[in-house]
Amino acid sequence: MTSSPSRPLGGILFTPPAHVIGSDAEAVQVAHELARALAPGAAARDRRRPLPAPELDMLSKSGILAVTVPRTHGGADVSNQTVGRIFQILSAADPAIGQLPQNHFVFLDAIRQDGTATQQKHFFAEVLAGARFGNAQAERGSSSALDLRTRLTRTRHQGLRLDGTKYYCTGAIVAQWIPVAALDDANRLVLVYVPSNSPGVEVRADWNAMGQRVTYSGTTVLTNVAVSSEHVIEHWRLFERPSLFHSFGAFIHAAIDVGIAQNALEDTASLLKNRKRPRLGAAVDQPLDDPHIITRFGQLATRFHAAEELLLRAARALDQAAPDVNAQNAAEASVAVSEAKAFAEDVAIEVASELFALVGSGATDDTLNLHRHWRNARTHTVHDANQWRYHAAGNFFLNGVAPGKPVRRPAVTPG
Amino acid sequence: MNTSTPGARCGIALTDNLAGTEAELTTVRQALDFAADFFRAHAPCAGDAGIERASEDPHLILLFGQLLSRLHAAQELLAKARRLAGIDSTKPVQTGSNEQAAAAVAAIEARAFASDLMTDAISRLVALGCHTLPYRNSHATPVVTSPTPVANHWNYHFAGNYHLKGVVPPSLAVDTRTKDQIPEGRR
Repeated sequence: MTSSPSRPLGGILFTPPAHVIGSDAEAVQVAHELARALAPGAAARDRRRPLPAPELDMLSKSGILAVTVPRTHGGADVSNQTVGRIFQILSAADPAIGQLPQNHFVFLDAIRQDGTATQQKHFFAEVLAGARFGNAQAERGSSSALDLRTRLTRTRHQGLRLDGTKYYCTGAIVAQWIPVAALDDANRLVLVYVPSNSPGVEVRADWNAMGQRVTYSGTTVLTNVAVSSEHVIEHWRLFERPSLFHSFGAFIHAAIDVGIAQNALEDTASLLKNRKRPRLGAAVDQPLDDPHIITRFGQLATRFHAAEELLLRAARALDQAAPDVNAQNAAEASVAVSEAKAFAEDVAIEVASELFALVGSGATDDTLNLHRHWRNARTHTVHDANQWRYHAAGNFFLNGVAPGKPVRRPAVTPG
Repeated sequence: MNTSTPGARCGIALTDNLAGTEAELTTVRQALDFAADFFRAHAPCAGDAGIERASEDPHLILLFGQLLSRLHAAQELLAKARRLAGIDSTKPVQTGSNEQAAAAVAAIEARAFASDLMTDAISRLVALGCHTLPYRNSHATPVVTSPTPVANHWNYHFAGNYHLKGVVPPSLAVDTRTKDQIPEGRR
């Protein structure tokens, strides 16, 4: 997009009081209702790329974004299985809208993990009222995901100040709070929750990927942003103990990919039912009598169901480990998530491509925008290579090597 | 399988598919365990400088991860089919119901997915140098566990027919042919 406006502040920052969801069952039911509202506009949104503020406001109002808030703070504290179902259901309707709250749930968990009692009380209440967390975590051109140049500095006269430039800021453009990963004066990793209308915060609409186009995962620039110490989470503490934090984030990504596969598979089925002309060489009257179409579709459906079951298996591993996390069950859950994530990628890409092979030339009509499934799957999966996810599973089994947390790689000095 | 009288069921029964799937997955699990021990004790088959044991070969690690993922997925598909069929519950699904068809298809999917995995796993592990794998047993498995082995592509076909057209698998369909209409070898 050229000369895109930065996020317009008016309208987006206001969220009316949200409904509060009380149970896992209600959360799934609400997800289905949201999916029904999201599905019809998904193809057009991908094409025109409006800012997804109305859709995210709809999510906020429904209460779906607060379902992991602990019960002691008034939330439903739903299981990982329910979180997975919510993301699959939403992503099967519109995977860009489905991905937008991924970071929201991750940074809600970060507060649960390492927030002080005061911070938890404050932020959980914000989220129950409908507030959203974006993200400003990754930086371009660094040697690893945690090699950060963004700094939180205590100045002599101005208190805490935040400076840096971030990319892949999914959700930031429609969020009330933007959690920013930074190093503090002691070189420790902190998460700074910045109100998105703070002076010095600029969220750019410069996301120009071929898929997941409405996620607006572009640049956030932070220039001498004033920060309250109440909004700084000591995220570095997480790395000093076994946790499910990173597995949880990857698990949600896996659920999004399963949703994309479902979306593509359902489209394939409904297109096949409406096709009249058999494929060249097929001695049948209609596509649905073509034995190769039927068999290939059965294969794809089976693989999709396998991906769904691996996702449920990963959810179970997370749910079982959660009450008492230790190195062993955290490693097992991490491997289960890796398997689900890698396999979901394979299936999403495969189904999104085979849609065209089975339905035929008509499906390639650009106005139908059926290629969005493949563009979405491919764009969404490349940030986390499935080969290394499979590798983690293989290494755990063959060599007993537990998957590592993300590490800060020391800068390589030439010579 | 009795198809010699009109009205009898043809195709592989749900319980046969469940048993066949279970046997095939046991074979895969044993093959992976056996191969893991083998690869931990042997050098990589291709001379990659710097790797002492095959189990440290990144390509082999990747393959194991892929096969394990499929094994775990197949185990879950089997569990799902058992659940849908009410195998472990006091209330099995009713004959002729939609639930029975869904359970039969789930069992067919589990079986097809497991059979593919078994063929791939054995062939890949042997190709990587694990020649001593007791793979002959695995090929015997489907013959032993199911009276009428169904080629995998037909299982996928039954699943596809159900999902696309609502056609119930042949194991549930009532065979209306007379004895004379059924070829000699298929009775």
